[in-house]
Amino acid sequence: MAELFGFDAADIEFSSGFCLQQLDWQVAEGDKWLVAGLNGSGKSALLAAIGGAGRLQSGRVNAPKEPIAELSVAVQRALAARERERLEGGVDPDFEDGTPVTVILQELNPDSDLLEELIDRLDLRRHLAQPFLNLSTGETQKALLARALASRHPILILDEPLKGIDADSVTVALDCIERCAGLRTVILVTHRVNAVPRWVEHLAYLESGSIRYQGAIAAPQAADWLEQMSALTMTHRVLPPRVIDQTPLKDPLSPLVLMKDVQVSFGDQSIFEGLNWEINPGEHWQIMGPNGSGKTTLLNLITGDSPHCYTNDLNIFGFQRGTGESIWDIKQHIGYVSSGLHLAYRVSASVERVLLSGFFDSIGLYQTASQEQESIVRQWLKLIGLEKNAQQPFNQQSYGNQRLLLIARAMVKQPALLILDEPCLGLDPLNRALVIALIDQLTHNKTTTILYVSHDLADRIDGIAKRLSLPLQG
Amino acid sequence: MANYFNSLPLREQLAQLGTCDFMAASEFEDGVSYLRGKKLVIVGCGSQGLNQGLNLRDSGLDVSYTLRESAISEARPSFVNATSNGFKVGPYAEMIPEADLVLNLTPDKQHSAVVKEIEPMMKKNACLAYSHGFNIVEEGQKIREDLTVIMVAPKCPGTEVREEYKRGFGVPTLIAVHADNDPNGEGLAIAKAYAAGTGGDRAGVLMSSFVAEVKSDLMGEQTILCGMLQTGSLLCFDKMVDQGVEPGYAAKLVQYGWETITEALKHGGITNMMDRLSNPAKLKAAGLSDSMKTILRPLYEKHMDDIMTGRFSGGMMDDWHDDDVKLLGWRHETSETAFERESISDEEISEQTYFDQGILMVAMVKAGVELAFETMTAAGIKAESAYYESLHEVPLIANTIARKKLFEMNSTISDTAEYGCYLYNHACLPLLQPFMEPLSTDVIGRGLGLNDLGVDNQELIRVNQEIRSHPVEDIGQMLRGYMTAMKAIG
Repeated sequence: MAELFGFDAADIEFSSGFCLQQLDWQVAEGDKWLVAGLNGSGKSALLAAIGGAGRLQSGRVNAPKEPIAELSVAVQRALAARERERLEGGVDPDFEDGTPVTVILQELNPDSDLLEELIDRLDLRRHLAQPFLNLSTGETQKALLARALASRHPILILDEPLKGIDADSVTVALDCIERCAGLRTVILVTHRVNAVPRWVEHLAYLESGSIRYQGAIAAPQAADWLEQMSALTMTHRVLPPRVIDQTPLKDPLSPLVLMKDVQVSFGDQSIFEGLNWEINPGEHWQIMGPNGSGKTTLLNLITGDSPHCYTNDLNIFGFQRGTGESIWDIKQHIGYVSSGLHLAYRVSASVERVLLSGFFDSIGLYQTASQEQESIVRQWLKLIGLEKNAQQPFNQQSYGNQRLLLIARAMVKQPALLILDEPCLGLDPLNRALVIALIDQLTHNKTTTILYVSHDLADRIDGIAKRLSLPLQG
Repeated sequence: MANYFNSLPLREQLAQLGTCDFMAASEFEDGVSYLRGKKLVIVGCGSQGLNQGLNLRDSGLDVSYTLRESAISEARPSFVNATSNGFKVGPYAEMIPEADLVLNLTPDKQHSAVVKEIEPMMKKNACLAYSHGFNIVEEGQKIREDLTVIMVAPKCPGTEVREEYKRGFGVPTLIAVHADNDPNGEGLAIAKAYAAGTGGDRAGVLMSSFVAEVKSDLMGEQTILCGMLQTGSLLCFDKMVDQGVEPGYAAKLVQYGWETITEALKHGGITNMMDRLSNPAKLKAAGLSDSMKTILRPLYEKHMDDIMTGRFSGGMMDDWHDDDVKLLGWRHETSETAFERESISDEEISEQTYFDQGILMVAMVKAGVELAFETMTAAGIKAESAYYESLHEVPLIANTIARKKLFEMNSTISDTAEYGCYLYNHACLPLLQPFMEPLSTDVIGRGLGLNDLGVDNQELIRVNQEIRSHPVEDIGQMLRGYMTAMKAIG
């Protein structure tokens, strides 16, 4: 079958900094592909690249010449934005309350009979006259599914088509998709890899911006990849609870970190001059910069591990530094992991006790942990697959496991501020994926704000929006 | 000034010598609050000065430094230490009058001059703190009556005090209130808050007295800690080289041997250190240790007696006034010894090998610890003090030798310890010569090399019993138990 679209050794960079690397992928007319991978592996980027997004750095792209019908968060966002613009600008005098659902459904050159059938099966008829923006999450999703499936466009991209659809309607929705797939070219993205629709023929498995596997979905390797992904996505679903009576922040709404005109120099060498920085709750940051650009110094100003804390205007968690607070008052709200900590963590303690020490911000455990803390630690160990190692000496674990344990140690508190300084160094791809998944999960957690230092663009995390690049310019 | 201890009636001497009690963690529940908002000014910014100051500041206290004018104007290391860590530094006249608590962390030798200079500047009812009571006890310095005088003595080098704090722990610490200077009855509250500020409360604090701390500290450092390790290093190295062991290898075995074998001591006392030997080696070491104890007992007793009567400190202070002629002479002699000058070989030595080939070194540690402990307790010092000043500190001193041999040890310890160490070394070397004469590489350098490790049952039972029932093992087990209950690692 002729190639409909494809990529040859393509490196594509996106404005976010994310890169798809060495992309070799050919899609033929009528192909049915499943694109799978963990969060942050590049699935959405790949779909965007099919539509022509991103900047080609090297290699070749054979863009599709046929129109595409797409269902994705991006499409939904674009429609919602267009609607708001219309409402605010009064552009569309016909529909004062916003575009009705029926108009939205007609937009992609639909087969009318098919559309009518889908409207009934997906229970959309009673919503046809409603403004699109008034639909609930599940109804919006069903409307967009009908809109894409009913179109006559030969290429169909379905990114998590079942997201938000209630359990009762899932079977019907799957049935509709199968009926409409027919001879068209379909690219399906779903995390529900335990129940891949039987019409899917091929799998493209992504990891860190590259396709790690492509081929028949029936092949044993495909099953291995999907099983791995399933294991990781299943486990990261439920994080263990927080300790119930954890000391709260003085004021949960005020900035976690407030730096004003910070100056730091070592001898003659100036590291920061006039640095102003504010971290607000829920505002996740990624810090980037080469060695020696001041990343560690910056983090030490927050954690209290730099003497410059006392010579600058710093307010951390509502404590103006140098006014009688102790570093333990600060550290109780921080979870921290870095290579420096890994080096310093030399004690003869069991794996379990190392995790427990995260509740006390100590290297080694010097206090009696509560039953609640012990229970939370057991759940974390299970989550990272090391529950069998609980009683083994920490210093006899592999380097990668030690790193994984220290990351979990930083997370057990689900602290107000989680500082992850190159957390994935030394982890194998599987554990790296697990850690990224955990961080991603924590970005949705209202109590924890993340400060993520990573030099590796492949470790980008979707939920982290803010960037600080060091060294500071000017 | 007259020796303070000698001015006391016997019952007071005994009472103060016999003070050393483990304090319950609940006594430190208020943390540093007694000192919060008060001005702490540290005199001197060496290892103890800097590291205690960093901890106190991180505990939320207001810490600044004062140094002599010359140290500031010439930007000496102490000045750079303080300013590069973001502390305020000023001359005495500027800083002392403001201080609520003055921490005198200068070397012993400077105490008398420093205290004389700062005392008149201190505000009424302020507090003067020491980390070693030499000046009060041995020099008999009288402090203004309205001032409170306390001691907080972390039982580790300053760098260790900082490292343990950063881990969220601390080092064992002795505190004391000078009975003559507690006008407002707040000495203990200040000392407890100060100990909490350095992290000492987490590792265990012992209520001691100036007298008990000084007399036991002097005894420990000059006999088992520095004295025995220095003398032992020289004797073992020379013996091995004499018997044809490659000098680089011999130097390595000694340099790292102390650290390796005393690590076993740290975890499980003399018992565990001896248990690391094979049964025949253990019997051998026990026999060597017995012989050395018999030979050295009079020397240990002499050191203890000279410390108690003030003869030791008198002699040392004479040397201070003579521009340290003796101390500097000895320091130079040590740097010239064959052991110190030998470069160590690259050959790998496994952990167990240090025991197997260092039977004599194990015997020396056992003899030195037991003798120092026995002599101290016989002189009225409590077992707790005697334990901390003997067994507990051996691994810490051994670490310094592992870093850079005797030079490093002597530059890390105080001048007082170094002076005592040389006295010991000069007396001990000739005493042990005849004992060393017949020994060979089976006990130092090569090991027993036995194919048959059989021993006599009755003999082994007797030796094990002797090791385990020594009083230093009793108190050690208890104190290490407290520590692990708090530390609970491993």
